[in-house]
Amino acid sequence: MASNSKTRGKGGNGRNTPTSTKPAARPGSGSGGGSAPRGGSGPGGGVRGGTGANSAAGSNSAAGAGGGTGPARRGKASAEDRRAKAAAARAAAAAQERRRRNLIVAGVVVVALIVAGVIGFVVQNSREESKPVVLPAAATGSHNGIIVGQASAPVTVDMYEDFQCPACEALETQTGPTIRTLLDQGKIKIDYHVMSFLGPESKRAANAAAAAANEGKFRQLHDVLYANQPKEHTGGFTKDTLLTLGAKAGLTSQAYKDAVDKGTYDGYVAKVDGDASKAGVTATPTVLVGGKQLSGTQLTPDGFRAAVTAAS
Amino acid sequence: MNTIAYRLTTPTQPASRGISTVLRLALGVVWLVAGLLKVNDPDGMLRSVRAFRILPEALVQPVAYGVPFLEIALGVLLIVGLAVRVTALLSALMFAAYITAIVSAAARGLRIDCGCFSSGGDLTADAPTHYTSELVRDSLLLAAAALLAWRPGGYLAVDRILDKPVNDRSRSDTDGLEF
Repeated sequence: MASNSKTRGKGGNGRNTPTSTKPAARPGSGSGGGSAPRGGSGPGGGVRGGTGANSAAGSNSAAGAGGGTGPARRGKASAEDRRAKAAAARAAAAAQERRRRNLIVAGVVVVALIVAGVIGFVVQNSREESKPVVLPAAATGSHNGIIVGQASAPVTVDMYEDFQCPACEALETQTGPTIRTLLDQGKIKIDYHVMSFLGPESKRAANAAAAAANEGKFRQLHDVLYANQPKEHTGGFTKDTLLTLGAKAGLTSQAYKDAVDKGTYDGYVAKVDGDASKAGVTATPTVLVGGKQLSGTQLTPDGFRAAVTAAS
Repeated sequence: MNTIAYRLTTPTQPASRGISTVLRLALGVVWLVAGLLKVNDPDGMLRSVRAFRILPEALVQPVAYGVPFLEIALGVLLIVGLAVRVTALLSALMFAAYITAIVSAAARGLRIDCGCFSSGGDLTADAPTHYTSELVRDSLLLAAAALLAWRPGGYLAVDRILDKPVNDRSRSDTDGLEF
């Protein structure tokens, strides 16, 4: 738009400065019309310029019959006219050239953006080196969740938790004792889907929990981790912390240390997290009792107990 | 003639060009920051895109992985000022798509973080959603992108350099004709 008005300004300039032109320009402006085909719209412009010059000359000679200055004025007017036409044709050609150029630039830019997106996809895909999924021993629940409790328990509770999530910690503090009692009474078994979306510390903790599950000590580590939850997004659960906390939960084996150190269960952790998100779990804690999701108010000890009673 | 409205809306006026420049650079920086914050967390983007539950699973990954790069590319193009009208229009389209997605998530009662400037997605159960502020922000950005598409001719843009040779050539034509 800016460029258009600039062209228009230039056309106006050409029209306004005929006084500075020499008579020699007259044949020149004719060939100017001829050179217009370069722009594409040339032929039309040229023809129009020609007829315009003719009619201008005609009317001028009629008017010029009265005065002696006729021929000079006639020549000036027709030259002016032709020059204006030529300038307009040039402006049109320039505008078209500019449009063409803008189209090319736009096309190149759009293609470049698409290429950027595709490159991004490829790069991210290769960065996500899919780690092997190693299932811990207790991962026998749905979507390879970790089962805690007696297999004969009548009610299955699905718990989607993240070790780094403060709301999960609040739930564990408030309702955890009730859940533990029901577990011990054999009224429920829990299918733990450990999510890990709150930073790398989340993933490290989930990996450690999987290692604990492999040794049958998921519950112990689970409780210790929540009792010692670091602040969110502070990188809290480091490998060292997880080894120390593991020791508190009775995990001192070389296998646990190695798993924490090497991220043995990283692939499993990613799979569980992906499956949970594909299942539409968009918040933690998400608790399902007998397949029915509990509302916020049902997450209290009384609410949870009532839900379990209703499901059994 | 030179009323304030004229100065602001006429593309050749310094005021109009100045505003166009500011909008362009601001949008460019917004895209660049938004893209860079997301590019290092492909996992988070994946979750974020999936959490909206709009795209089919097959498209979630390409979009989650591609969009941050697209945003960075848009940011760079806007900052250098190449094909400003096209990039501004594309920006406006993307903001419109984001707004639609957030409105749809809010309407369906999803509790998610838009993931606009980082990996969002799932929110913990009692975390607040910020739909209103997210919508206000994206609407402002959409308006800025639309304005820029309307008046793309600012200062400090590659477009201006690319525009010049056309004028120079028409001038050299006239030179040859002793005009």
